[in-house]
Amino acid sequence: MKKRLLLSLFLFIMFLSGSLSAQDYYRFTAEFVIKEKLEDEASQLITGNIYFDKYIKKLVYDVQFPEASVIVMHDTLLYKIKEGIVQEIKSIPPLAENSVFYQLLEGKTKNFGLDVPGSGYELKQVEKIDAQVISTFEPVEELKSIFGTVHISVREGRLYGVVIKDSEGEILNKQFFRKYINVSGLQVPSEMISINFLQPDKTLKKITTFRDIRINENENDFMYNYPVGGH
Amino acid sequence: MKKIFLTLLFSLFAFGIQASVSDLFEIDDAALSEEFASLTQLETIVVGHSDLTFESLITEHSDLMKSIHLQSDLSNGLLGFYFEPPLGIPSFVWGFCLGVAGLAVVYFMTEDKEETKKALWGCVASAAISTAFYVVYFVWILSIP
Repeated sequence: MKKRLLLSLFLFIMFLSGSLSAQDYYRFTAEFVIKEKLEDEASQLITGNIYFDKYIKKLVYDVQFPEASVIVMHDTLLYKIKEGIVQEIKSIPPLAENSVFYQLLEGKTKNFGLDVPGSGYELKQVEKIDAQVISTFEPVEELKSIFGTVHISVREGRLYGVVIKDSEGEILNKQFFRKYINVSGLQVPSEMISINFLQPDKTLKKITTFRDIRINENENDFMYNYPVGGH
Repeated sequence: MKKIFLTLLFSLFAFGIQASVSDLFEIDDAALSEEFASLTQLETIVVGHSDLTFESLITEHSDLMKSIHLQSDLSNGLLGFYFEPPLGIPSFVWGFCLGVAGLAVVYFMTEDKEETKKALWGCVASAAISTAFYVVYFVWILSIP
């Protein structure tokens, strides 16, 4: 009897863990606020809603302020749409499928996607310092003249910070992922801070905050697959 | 005694390395809040007011708007972000280190005139430094008796 009970409990736990790991997170939507500051020269405030579906791979920003418009990033193209009319098309690197939203839904944020084969980086060192685990990635030999070291900090099992250096060891960019909240079982940072070191003593700082984060929602199908370029 | 001294030295060295790596992830929240205070003030005005336009903000909050040099379009913000130089490496560096090849990388990856211009300046700076180096080098060679 006891054996059966234990076996049932074991199977139940196995089933539960199996079903939990099988959870497919595929959509991310939230209200966003981007505050950006280039020293004392210029600043920007952008508000709106963001939509991303990892299978469709379109990153859609429904911007409300400063100008009502829709920005769609798909493959290597960016579309700016105003009042339903495409106003600008620009070439971009394939950002949507490499975005933090994709990594987040895939559950691969911990190493910022650098531990994937073909990323061009190799894990060189892992250190535990106080409450954080810092991983150091180095570019592969062929890319060392272009890329530099990347340090990734994980706190409480969640991505906390990323520091990207150039090949000379100078810091190019720092990113922080903070104020995590649990949305449908997924840990999502509601604040992202990015600091770009443009020149010595000149930085471009950006704080992105998310509110009303929803995962796998189905009310805005149209926005996730916003029609652009015949797609 | 020597062993103790060496152990202490190595510990300090190791601690120094660790401290420097973890220091990279320090962030001064107070300074950041202060720096973004005006933008945060504006955020509280804008969020939740979908009918608010940039123009109406200029008339209603002119002092605040002037003090923060707020951009009226997305070219420096959302769009600007995505037109960051290729691979996050400043366009100037592309031009400086790789010359015409770097210029081409910036041009084809961003198709952005401003970024390409920065790469061009990198190219020019690199050429100027090389020229100056060779001039100094030849002057030095000729000055050798």
